[in-house]
Order: sequence, then C-alpha cells, then structure tokens
Amino acid sequence: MPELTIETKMIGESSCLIKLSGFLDAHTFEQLDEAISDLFDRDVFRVIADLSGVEYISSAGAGVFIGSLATAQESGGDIVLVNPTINVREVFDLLGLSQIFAIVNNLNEAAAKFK
Amino acid sequence: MSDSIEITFSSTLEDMGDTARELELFLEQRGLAADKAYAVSLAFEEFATNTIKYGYKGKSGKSIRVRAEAGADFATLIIEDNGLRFDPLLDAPEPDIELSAEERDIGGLGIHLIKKLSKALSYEYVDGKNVITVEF
Repeated sequence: MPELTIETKMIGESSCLIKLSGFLDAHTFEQLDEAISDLFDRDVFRVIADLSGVEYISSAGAGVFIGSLATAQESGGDIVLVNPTINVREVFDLLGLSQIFAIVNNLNEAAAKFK
Repeated sequence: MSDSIEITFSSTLEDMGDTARELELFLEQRGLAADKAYAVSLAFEEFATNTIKYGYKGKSGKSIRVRAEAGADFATLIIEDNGLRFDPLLDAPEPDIELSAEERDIGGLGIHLIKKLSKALSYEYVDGKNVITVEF
C-alpha cells in the first residue's frame, strides 16, 4: 500500500514546515488532517507545506488543505504550498485552489510570505 | 498481453488500494502516457471511494467491479456496483471553485476533477447496478 510520509519542523514559535512525501489519497488524508489539527491545537497557524515529494493527490487530499485554510486564515495565519509536482499542480488548478492558496517555488519564497 | 483487465474487489479501502496497484501496473504495462495513467488512477479512486462511503454506506463485504482497457494513448474505465442508485452527472453537487476559502465546500470535488480530466463520462443504471464509464 503506498504511504504518506509527514515530517514536521518548527520554524520559530509560530510557523511550521510540513514536508509531505508519497501518496495523499483516501487512505492517507487523515494523517495529514491530524498533523495540521495538531498544529492548530498548539496555536501554530502559519503552515508551509512542501509538496515536492507528493506523487499523487486526490480530492480527499486536497480537501484537507481546503478545510484547514479557512481556520488558519481566520487565526491570523495561512497555508503556503511549496513546489507541487506537475500532476499535483494540475489537480489544484482544476479545483480552483491556485486562486485561494499561495503556491510558491521554494522554501525561501514561502518563508517570505510570513515576514 | 491482454489489452484489458477486470477485477472484482470487496468494498473496503484496503481492497480498493490493492486493486488500484493492479490497475496502475496494467496501465504501465500497456504503455499508457503518464498523465492519462494519473487521470485513470484518480477516477478509479474517486468513484470507488464514493461507492464505498455512500453507495454502500461504509459496509464491507459488498462488491465493486472494475474493468479497464488501455493502449499507449487511450484508456477506458468501467466501474460497476450494486449500491444506492447514484448518477454522478446529475446527483453530485457542482462545486463552486470561485468561492473564497471560508465559503468552499469539499463536496463534489472528485467528480468535478474527473469531468475535467476525461474525454467522456457516462452513467447507466442497469439491472440494479450503477455503471460508470470514463474515457480518457
């Protein structure tokens, strides 16, 4: 069964880098949902999601980002998506998510969004 | 090598995952272009998940049949189930992808994606079965 790997790294006290690798689908989306909810529970609302290692995303995976974005923004934070692969980017484009998410090319650009 | 594959699997996410891997392997062996293979995999997951969660209301032990035909530049996916009657073309909510983050609803996103990624999508209800055919 393809898996999702999630690595989290705090950047200062209020931002977190989440590096995702593998498949973000109906089997794995709850892992991401729990990881983001855990950050929100700790009042971390500035989230940088590195998607460069995500090979596949379905609507279940995209739904986690959509569901989390409003909470992050309402709490003064945001979710910035970094370097999605071509297939993942196409899914975001087709769902109109490129209009509501900041999607950047690298971690430096992502960090600049929170300065 | 056959140009088609047919698999019947039980209505659990685990069995769906195993079937997805078999389907991916078949598409790879047929030499289907990577972007189309991604779209076929996505369609399989979106429709099979809908069937498991809503068509069979999460009950395991029900069956779903998937058939696929593929070549280097085309693929057809047919998914059949005996779950609740559901026409994705008429019954699925149409998501408004222009809304802001707080107004977004995640319902209907999967079917919206497949409509965009496929050449044709059709639905029939035959002998108590939902039959969805997707062409790529």
